[in-house]
Amino acid sequence: MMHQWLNVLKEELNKHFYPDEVDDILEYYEEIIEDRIQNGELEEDICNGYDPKEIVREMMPDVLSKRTNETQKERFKTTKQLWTAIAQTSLKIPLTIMYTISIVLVIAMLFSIFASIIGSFIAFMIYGLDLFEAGLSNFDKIGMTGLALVLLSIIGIILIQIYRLVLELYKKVLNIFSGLTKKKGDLS
Amino acid sequence: MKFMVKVFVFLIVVGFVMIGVAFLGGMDASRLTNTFNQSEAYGDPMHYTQSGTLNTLMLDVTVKHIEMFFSETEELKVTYYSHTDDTWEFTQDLGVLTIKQTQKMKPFFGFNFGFVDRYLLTVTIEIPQDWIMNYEIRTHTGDIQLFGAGVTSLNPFTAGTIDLETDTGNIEIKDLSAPSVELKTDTGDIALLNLLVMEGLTANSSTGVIHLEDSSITDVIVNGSTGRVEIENLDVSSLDIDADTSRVNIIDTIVDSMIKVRISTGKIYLDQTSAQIYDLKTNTGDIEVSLDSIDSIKFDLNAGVGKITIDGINQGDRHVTTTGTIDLIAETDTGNIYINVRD
Repeated sequence: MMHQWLNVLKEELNKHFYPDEVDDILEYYEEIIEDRIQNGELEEDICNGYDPKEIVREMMPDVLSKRTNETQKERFKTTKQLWTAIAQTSLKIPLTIMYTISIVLVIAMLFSIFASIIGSFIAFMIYGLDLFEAGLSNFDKIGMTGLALVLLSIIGIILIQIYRLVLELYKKVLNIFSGLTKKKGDLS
Repeated sequence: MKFMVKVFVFLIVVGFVMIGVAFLGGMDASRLTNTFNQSEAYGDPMHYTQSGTLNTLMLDVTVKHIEMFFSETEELKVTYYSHTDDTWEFTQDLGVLTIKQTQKMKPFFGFNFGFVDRYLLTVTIEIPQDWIMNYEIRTHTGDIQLFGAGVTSLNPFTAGTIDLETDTGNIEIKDLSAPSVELKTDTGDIALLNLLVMEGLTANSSTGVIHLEDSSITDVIVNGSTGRVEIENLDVSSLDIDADTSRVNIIDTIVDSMIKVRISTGKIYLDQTSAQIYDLKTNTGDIEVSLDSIDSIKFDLNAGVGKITIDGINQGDRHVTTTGTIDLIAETDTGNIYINVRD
């Protein structure tokens, strides 16, 4: 009975969490059920007392707060799931507003950096075209192209560093709000 | 990311090597600053002269500043610099002089790194001071200036109707009289000084500052979006200001009939300004009016979630009086209303 129920739970958890997160939760519930069986409770009663969907809802804030969000895929998944988790807390309206504003700001910053990088490359191309129309000698063209490469590369490195900072900020935002969700979720 | 940084570091090294090779090959260092100066693409100044009297001047140019001024000359003189990609057309028919400049389209919408000295991008028009012409002037990117010969009782009209438009640039008019004036700029400022406008003046600017000073105008309509509106020492029949996010300052102004101000977000400030009807409304922002006396004022004030203060005394968020000959209607949803009485 317990293994059958754990399979159902695993199926439900797999829809929302990563395999290592699923394993942790399964292990946790397996231990709880075994403890309760040892205390004399019936396996069937224990399993019937748990709703897998409810477990997903309850575990969501805790799982999100532990997630490192290192990869882009993780960040997107956490971002999406946090909206759902926040909506179940006691402070759902103010938290949702604050969270949405923060995410929009972070995404706008990331978009700006992306646009700046594209813009720099386009500017470099236009510069190259202008260079050929400027009636310069070959050595002048080489020198000017070299200068443009240096400037473009410096701008590129600066933008990459800014991108890294914004990613850290993004992770921090997810971290803060998943922590708040866990805290307020416990209170609700 | 690490790979990208390595690529950029590699490109920096390549760039420095290329610069080194170029200098060893005899590259002139001054090239670094002068290569993209496109001034050489402009030749000597070109002139167009019109001796017969005109009734209308129509000008349509792309990236040019336009400077028009009156002088004691007998002929209208146009001075401009032509780029190799420019085409200029001058046509004169039935007293209407049309000047049109077009530019050959280049890749990337003509964007390039070149820069040009301002005077090469300026069309200068010298106008005989006794010519009364209508002006229909348009430049896509550039400033427009129209400087008159002064406003005197002996010379009440120095221009016909004036219609100026620039997408990105400032408009400045001063020392001039005209029956009507219409001005439009998207991102530039509008500055008007010492004007006598017998009919109406309309000024439209999206993000720029609109400034009107020392002028006598019949009806003034100002449409702004995010720029400030500043009005100082005006004598007008009516004043109608409509803006989104702005601050409106009206100082030392006489309005024969009505001042109407509508803004979404921003403060409305009136000082030493008289009218028969004040109709002031801002959704978010304070309204402050300073008056010599409030004896003849009939108030209809609504401060929404703010407070109303008249001569330092708090009146709550709604204040209505029924006596008085001058209507002062002021409304703000989120903000305070201050009516100050000068000692």
